[in-house]
Amino acid sequence: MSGSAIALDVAGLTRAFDGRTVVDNVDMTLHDGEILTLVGPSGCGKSTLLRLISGLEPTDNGRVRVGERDVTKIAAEHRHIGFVFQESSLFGHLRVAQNVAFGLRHLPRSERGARVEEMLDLVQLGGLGRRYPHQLSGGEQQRVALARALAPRPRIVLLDEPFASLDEVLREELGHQVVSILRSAGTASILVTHDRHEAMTLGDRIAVMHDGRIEQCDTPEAVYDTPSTRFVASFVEVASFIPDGAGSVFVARPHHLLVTPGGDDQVTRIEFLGSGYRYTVRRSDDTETVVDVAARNNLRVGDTCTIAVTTRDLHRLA
Amino acid sequence: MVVVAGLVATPVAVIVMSIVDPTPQMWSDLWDTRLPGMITDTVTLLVTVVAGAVIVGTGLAWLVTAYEFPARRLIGWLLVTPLAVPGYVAGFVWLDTLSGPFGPRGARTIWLCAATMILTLYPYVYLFARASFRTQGSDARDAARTLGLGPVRTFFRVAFPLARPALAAGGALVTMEVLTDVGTVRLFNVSTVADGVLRVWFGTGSRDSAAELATTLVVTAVALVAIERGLRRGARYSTRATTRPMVALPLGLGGRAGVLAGTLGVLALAVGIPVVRLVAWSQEARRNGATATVAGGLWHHLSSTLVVATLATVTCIALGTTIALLVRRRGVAGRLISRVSSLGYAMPGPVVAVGAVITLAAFDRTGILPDGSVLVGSLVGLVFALTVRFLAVGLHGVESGLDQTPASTVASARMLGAGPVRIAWSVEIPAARTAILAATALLMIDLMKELPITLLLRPFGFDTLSVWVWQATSESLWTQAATPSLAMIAIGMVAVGSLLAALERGAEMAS
Repeated sequence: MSGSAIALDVAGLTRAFDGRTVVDNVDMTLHDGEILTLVGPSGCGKSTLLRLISGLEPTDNGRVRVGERDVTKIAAEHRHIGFVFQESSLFGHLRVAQNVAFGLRHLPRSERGARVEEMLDLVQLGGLGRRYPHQLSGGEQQRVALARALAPRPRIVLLDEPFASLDEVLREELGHQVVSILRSAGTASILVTHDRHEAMTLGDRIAVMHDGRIEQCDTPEAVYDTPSTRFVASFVEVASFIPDGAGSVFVARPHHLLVTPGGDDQVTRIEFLGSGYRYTVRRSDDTETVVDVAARNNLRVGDTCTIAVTTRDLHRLA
Repeated sequence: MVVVAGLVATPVAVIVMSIVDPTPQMWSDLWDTRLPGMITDTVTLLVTVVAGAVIVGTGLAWLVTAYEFPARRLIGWLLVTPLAVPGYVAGFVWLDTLSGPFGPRGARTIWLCAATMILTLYPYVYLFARASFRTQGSDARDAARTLGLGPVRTFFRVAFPLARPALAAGGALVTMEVLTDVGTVRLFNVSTVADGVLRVWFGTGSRDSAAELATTLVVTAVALVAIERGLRRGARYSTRATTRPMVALPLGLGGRAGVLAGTLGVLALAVGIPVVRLVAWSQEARRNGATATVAGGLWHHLSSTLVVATLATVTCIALGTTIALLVRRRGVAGRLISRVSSLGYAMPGPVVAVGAVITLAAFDRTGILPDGSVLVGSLVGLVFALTVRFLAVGLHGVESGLDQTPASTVASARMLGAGPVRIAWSVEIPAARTAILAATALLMIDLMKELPITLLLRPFGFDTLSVWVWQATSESLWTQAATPSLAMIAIGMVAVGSLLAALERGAEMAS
């Protein structure tokens, strides 16, 4: 991706509400065709960040550039950025095709119809153009919303938890569908989610946000293997922190560890995972450590035990 | 828009300013004589009518939404039709009908006045309550039943509390109608403050004294507007439609008979008996040739009513839409404009008329208009005063329609490159069109009934149906008042029909 041109460049973006900084000095770049997932706990500022980029929310500080164009001072309706909202934001009084055509006023009438057809085919809703939004399922409505956002060929599209209102099975299916639609459209995208699994599987890169700041922005592998902060480490997957004796800590994932009977530690919980068992262990220094093992040993809750590391190259937090 | 809001608020401001230079003599005279009685009557009437309308309106709404009985849908619609009967028309029919058993004096009591007002005003509460019960869905009722609550306790402990914001909105409308009424109270010799304003004006000829007395109503009105706003704010969060609509429960034979007797009884009292008696009177008048003796006859009055009502309705809807859109875009300033332009609705007609005449006369004196034309006593002046009084109906109607467009939908339109004008024209207004149609119908009903402003500001020789009824009833000529009353009810029925059609469509689209 680094070879392609920069689609979005955000620098020093800041926004405070009533003296509380919600988005704090955020820098971010997005390349053409790239899909970036923006993940963080609810209230961390990810939706606000998206609204700042789109221009729906005024910025206190910083700048937003789409391609070469500085859009910081430009109104939302002139930024040419696509946006898909959490809830269905379709125009209830317009048919599906009219919804998709809404942003195509610059096209001659003859081309509009063709573009609408093309977009509906892309989101696999060809033939449903004459329906009204309320005649579609929740997942279909969100696909129409995506078709509507992509129709004017924006350079970037922002998706604010577009699957949040759907049930889990539908979510996962729609998630992959949306990503493949975005890929075939070749549009750079930022997908906001609070689900770390969704963030890991759908994005080329993940930006992990916490308290208004982006703590790390990198590939899923890098964020998982070499997290930059304790928050990132434990947000993307269960992590235990093992002191290195020099004031710093190693990040250990459950499968990096082993638990054996006898010692100073104590088993506090055992869960069946399907593929194996997960032990939660209270260590002698009162910290908790989580260990995954393939087969159940004879340890029970309350037994004493010892933790061992099975790999030599644990990531050390700076 | 600031100019428009200013213009609309001026007649109210003129009234308020009058208190700066009070006439202590008038106040002490009034206090010694009529004022305590006026206040007692106003409060008694207000409390009785609002309580009665809320009980009748809510009860009927619950019956038609929660229970299954023969002709439920039809009866559900018919229960709105009393809206088409002006209070003073129902008033004179019942006054005459009850003069038999009670005697002409015995029938003129505040309680019968309240009863006829409840019969014509309960539909305001009924409409709000029915909409609220529908959107509540069955979930709350069914949950209450699984917890062992019977139908009556379910109504009082679940349905009624959930509908409270809607009931308050309906109750506020009834309150304003009562505070503002002059036609019905005059028939029953009930002396309210609104009636007092008219009497002081005509009795002493003192506009200043009338204006001062009117300030008491202005203060009440401002408080009511504030309360209504506050309650509606809550309503917005609580009217989220559930996935399952209300499913009506079947009733036993006794239950069905009871519900039918109750609903049809209300309809007979509010619409059936008045229409039957009016038809009889109107035929009697035709035989006597009484209708023909009224200058211009039926067609002149009918067309005058339609012209004034249509012009004022269009003005109120156009201004209301503009202001409502502004409120959404310019938070604080817009809300202020909206509130200022809503004040007129809580003013009694005579107060607005006094304020409007003073405002228009001041404008006329500037001599800006060409050829010495004047606004006082012109059609433009009349439409202006009616707009001052009824703008809030258009404004609130459009606002409730615009609230149905979620913020994310507006934001979507922006992200697709639409500016504020295109968003208003092709997203917000179309989405609000059923609400706008409903507001139009309500305005037509209100304007057709309107009496004091039309009476005081109409151009010379320009008589509406309501003026005809007023003139005939003030001389107790019931037979002469019958034909124009029926014409008004006919217009009202058409408006109620379109109101219902709009509401049904709105409910369909929401589901």
